[in-house]
Amino acid sequence: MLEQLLIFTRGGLILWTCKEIGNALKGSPIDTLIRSCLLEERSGAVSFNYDAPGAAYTLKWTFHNDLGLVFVAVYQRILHLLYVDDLLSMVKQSFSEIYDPKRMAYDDFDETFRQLRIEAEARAEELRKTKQVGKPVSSVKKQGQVSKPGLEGGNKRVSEGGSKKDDGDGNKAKVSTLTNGHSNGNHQMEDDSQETDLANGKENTSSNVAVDLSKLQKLRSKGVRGRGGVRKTDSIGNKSSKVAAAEPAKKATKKNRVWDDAAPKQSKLDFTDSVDENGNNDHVDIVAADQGESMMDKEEVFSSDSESEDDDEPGSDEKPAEAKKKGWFSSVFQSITGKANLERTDLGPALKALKERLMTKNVAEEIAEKLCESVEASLEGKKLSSFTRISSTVQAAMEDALVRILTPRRSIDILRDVHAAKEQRKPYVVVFVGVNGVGKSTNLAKVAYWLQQHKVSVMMAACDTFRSGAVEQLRTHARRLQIPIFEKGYEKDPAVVAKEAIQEATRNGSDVVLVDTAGRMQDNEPLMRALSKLINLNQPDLVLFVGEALVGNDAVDQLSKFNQKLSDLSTSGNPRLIDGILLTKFDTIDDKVGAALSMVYISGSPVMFVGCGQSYTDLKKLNVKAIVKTLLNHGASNPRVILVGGSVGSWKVPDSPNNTLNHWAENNRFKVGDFIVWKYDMKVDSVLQVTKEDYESCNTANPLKQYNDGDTKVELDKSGPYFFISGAPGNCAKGEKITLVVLAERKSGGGGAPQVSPDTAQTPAPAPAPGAAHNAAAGLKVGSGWFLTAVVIGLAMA
Amino acid sequence: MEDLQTLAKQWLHQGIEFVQSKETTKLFNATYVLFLAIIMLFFDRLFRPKKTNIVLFSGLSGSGKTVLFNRLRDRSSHRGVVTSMEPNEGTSVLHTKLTMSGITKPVHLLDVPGRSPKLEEYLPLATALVFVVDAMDFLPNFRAASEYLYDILTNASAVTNKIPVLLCCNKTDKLTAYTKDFISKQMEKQIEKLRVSRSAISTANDFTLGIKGEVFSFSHCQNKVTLAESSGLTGETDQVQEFIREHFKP
Repeated sequence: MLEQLLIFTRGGLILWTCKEIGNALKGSPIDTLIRSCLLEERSGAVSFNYDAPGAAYTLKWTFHNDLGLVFVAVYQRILHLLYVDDLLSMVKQSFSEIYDPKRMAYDDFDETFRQLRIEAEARAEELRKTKQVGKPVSSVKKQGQVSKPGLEGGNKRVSEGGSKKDDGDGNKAKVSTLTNGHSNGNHQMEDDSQETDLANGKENTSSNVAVDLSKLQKLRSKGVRGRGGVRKTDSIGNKSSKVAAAEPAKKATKKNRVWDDAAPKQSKLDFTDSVDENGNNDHVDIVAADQGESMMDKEEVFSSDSESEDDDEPGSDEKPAEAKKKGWFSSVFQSITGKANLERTDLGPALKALKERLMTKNVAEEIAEKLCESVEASLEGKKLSSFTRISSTVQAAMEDALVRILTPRRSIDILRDVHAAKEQRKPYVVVFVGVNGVGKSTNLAKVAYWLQQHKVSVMMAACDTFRSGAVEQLRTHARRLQIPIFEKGYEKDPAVVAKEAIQEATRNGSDVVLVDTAGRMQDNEPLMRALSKLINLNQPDLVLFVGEALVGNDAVDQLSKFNQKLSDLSTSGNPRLIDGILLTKFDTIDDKVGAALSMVYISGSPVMFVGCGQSYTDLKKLNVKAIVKTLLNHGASNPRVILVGGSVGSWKVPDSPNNTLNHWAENNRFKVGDFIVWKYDMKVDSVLQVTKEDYESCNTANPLKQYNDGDTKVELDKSGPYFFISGAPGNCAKGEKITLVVLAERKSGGGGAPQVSPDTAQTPAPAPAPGAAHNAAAGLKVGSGWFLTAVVIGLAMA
Repeated sequence: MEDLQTLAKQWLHQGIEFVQSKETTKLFNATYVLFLAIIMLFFDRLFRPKKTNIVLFSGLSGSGKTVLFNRLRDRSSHRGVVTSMEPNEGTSVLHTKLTMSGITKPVHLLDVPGRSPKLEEYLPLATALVFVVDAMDFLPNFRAASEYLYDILTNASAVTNKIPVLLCCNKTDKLTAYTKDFISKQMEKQIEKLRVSRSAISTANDFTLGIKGEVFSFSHCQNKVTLAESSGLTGETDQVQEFIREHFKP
C-alpha cells in the first residue's frame, strides 16, 4: 500500500498530505530524499530507496517546476506498486489546477485524491488480471533489452526482476488502449510517452482526450507497422493491441534509461560529521627546512575572465530543430509572444550542447548525462522569464547545480579536526588510498609539510609494504621534512604496521599520523581486502582518496569500486567509506577539470586538497567558483590582456638579477591572441621589438618595431619567441629586457567548432537577412507578450 | 554584410514614406504609446523594488528555520515542513502586543536553506540575521553550527555592514532542549577553537573574530550578537519579533 503522499513547495512547506493513509513513517525518508538525492542533482533518477530500522521504503517523486511544487510518494519497497508513477502524474495535474501560492490548506483535495487513487488502483488491479494474457509476447520480446545490470528504465521499478517489469509496462499500456477515451488511458499514454507537460492547469480534459486518442492511434498504427505491417486495421483483437501497446512502452523505457546504481548507495555515503576521536596534547617541535608558505594558505587570486561570454552556440543549436518544424514567421512570432512553458524538446538541444561541453572538460560521460537529466527535471515545465534564452536558463541552472555539488557539505577544515582529536589525546589518522601511480606518497609529503607549518606534529607510517622502494621513497620525504617515520620494512601486513604506527604516535605524542598505502587497482580483490582490513582495524579519522585529475571516465569506476569494496569487505556493520578526495596532477590538465566534478558527484565527498606541482608547497584548496566557471566555459578562451611583470612600473631595470622580467615570463603562459601591455614613462623609456641577435647584444639601433607611447599594447599574433628590449640607453644591458615564448593556440574541440550558424547554412544565399533576424528573434524568447501587443496597438492607431 | 545594408536602407526608405503618408497627430499617438510601452518595460525591470531590507534566517538544516519563518509570516506552522530546497521569501506584520509602539510596516523575511551557498548572495542585503540553532539536538550538531556561525561572523559583508545577529535557540518547547546560556557558552568555546585553527589558515576568512589574546565571547564581535529562545512549533516567537523590531529599519 501507499505509505504516504506529500505535496510540498520547493521552499519546504507541506501543502497537502494524504490524511487517510496517515501512517507515521519510520525515520525521515522525505528529508533524506531531499538532502541526498534532490539537492545533489540526482533527481534524474527514477526512484530512491530509503532504509530505516524496521522499514524499507521506495520513494518516487515528480516536480512541477513552474509552480515550484514537489510531489513525493512513499511506499514499502516489497510491494512494487505499479500505479505510483501514474498516480503521481495524475495528482500533479489535478493539484496544479487548484494550486494558489497564497493558499495554504487544500483540504478539498482529499476527495479528488481519493478518486484518483481509486482509479489508479483499479487500473493496477486490471493489470494484474490481464497479466497472464500479456506475458507471452511482451516479456519474451523485451527481456533481452533490460538485462544490463544496474540500468533502470524510466517506467520501471527498482526492485523488480526484468521480466516482471516489462509485463507491467506492456500491460499498462495495453490497458490504456483498451480503455480508449477514458481519461485514465489518456493519462497513461501521456505518462508513457513522457509528455509530462501537464502543467498549466486549466486545459480542457475532453480536448485532452481527443488529442491523446489521435496520438494513441498513431502510436498504434506505428506499432503495427513496426511488426512488419501485417495488420493495418485497428482491431481491438487481443494480439494486435498487445503489440501496439508494447511498442510505445518499449520506446518509453528506452528513452528514459537511467543509471540508477548511485541512488541506493547515497544514504550510506552521507556522513554528516566525522567522528572525533581522542587526541594527544604534547607538542613536538620539529623544525623543517623552510620552503615558504604552502599554497594551501595562499588565497588564490582568481582572475575573473569576462563573464559575458556569449552563448551563441547552444543558441544556434536549438534553432535548427525549431526551424525545421515551423516556418520562419511563426517561430519568430512564437518567440516574441513567448512560449508558456519549457518542454523537453526545447531543452534538449541546449542540454545536449552543455553535456558535450562538460565532456570536453573531461567530465565522465555518465556523470554529465545524469547532471543534464537532473537539470532537465528541474527546468521542465518552468516559465521562461522575459528576455532570457533557453541556453542561458539552462546554463544558469547547471551552474547552480555544479556549485551545489562541489561545495562541501561537511567541514573540510582538517586542522580543526586535528585540534579536536588532540584534545581527546588521540592522534588524528589519515589514510591515503588510491590506484597506482597517482601520487599518493608525494601528496602525503605535501600534506605533511602543510600540517607541519601549522605547528602540528606529524608522523608518517610506511604501510606500502608491497611495492619495492616505497618505504625508501617515504623515508626520503621524511628526512627532507624532518618528520619521524614509522616503518617495518616489506612483506608485513600493512594493517598491523598501521596499528603499530598509531600506537607509536600515541606514545610519542604526534598529533597526526599519515598512513601511506600501496597503490591498488580497484579490481584487485586481495589488495582491496587488505585495504579494507587496514581501515577497519585502525578506524582512521579520514580516508583520503587520491585520484589524478587526468582521469576521465575511469574516475567513476575507481571511486565507486573503492567505496563498494570498502563496504562489502567490511566486517563491521557500519563500514568506513571514502571521506575526502585529494586531486593530484592538477597543474597538468589546463581547463579539463572535469575529474573533480566526476569524483565529487560519484562519491559525495568533498575535494579536500588539490596537488598542483612538484614541490612541497604545491598543495591547494579547490576553488569551487573557478572550477564551475572553467567547466561551463567554452573551449576557446578569450584573449587575455597581460601586463608585463604583472604590475604597473615593472618595465624598468630590475633591482636584482633574481627578479628579472624573464623570471616572470617563465611563470606565465602566453598564447596566440593574447595581448601584452607595457606601462612606463614615455619620456624616459620605450619598448623595442627586436631580433634574437639584437636582444642578446642589446642593440637598439634597428628594432623590428618601436613603441614609445607609454602604454604599449602588442598582440601576440603568432606562436614562437618574441624579444623586447628597453629603448632607453644602457637599460637593456642592465637587464631591462624580456623574451616570451608564445604557445600555439589550443584546439580544444567544443568551443570554436560550431561557429557557423546552421541556420544561415541552411538558408540559401539570397536571403541572409531573414535568417539573421530569425537568429536574433529566436534568441530572444520573450516571456511576456504584452510588449508586442502594445507595439501593435501603437501601429494600428497610426 | 552589404546585403544587409541595402536591405536596411530599403526598410528605412519604406519607413520614411510610411511616416510621410500619415497624419502627424496619429503618428504622435503611435510614438506616445510606443514610448509608454518601453518606459513600462524598463520600469518593470529596473525599478523593481530593491530588497535591501531583509531579515535573514539561517542555520543548519533541520534547525527549524522554515517553521519559524512560517510562524512569523502566517502565524501558523501549517502542516509541517520538509527540508527546504530553495529560499523562502515573505513579508510579515509583527503581531505581538508591542505592535503599537513598534513598527507596523511589514517586514521582509528570507529563509535560506541550511548551508546553502546562496547565503553569501543575500548577506549584503540583510539588515538583520537570525541564526537558528536546534536546542534539542544541540550536541551532535554544535560543531557544525558553530562553524557556520563563525563563517557568517567573519563574512566580509556581514562584518562591514555590522549586521546584528540573533542566536535563536529553537525548539525550546521540548523538554530535553538546552538553555540558551548553555548553548551560547558551548558555541563560544567552539568558536574560540575555530579561531585558533582558522587563524592558522590565515587568509581563509576575510576578518578575524574577537579580540586578540582574549577568550572569545560573543560580546567581542563586531556584529551585535543577542540571544533568544523560541519555539516555532508552539508559536513562541516574541523574542525573535522583538529583535526584528529593534533592528528593522522601515
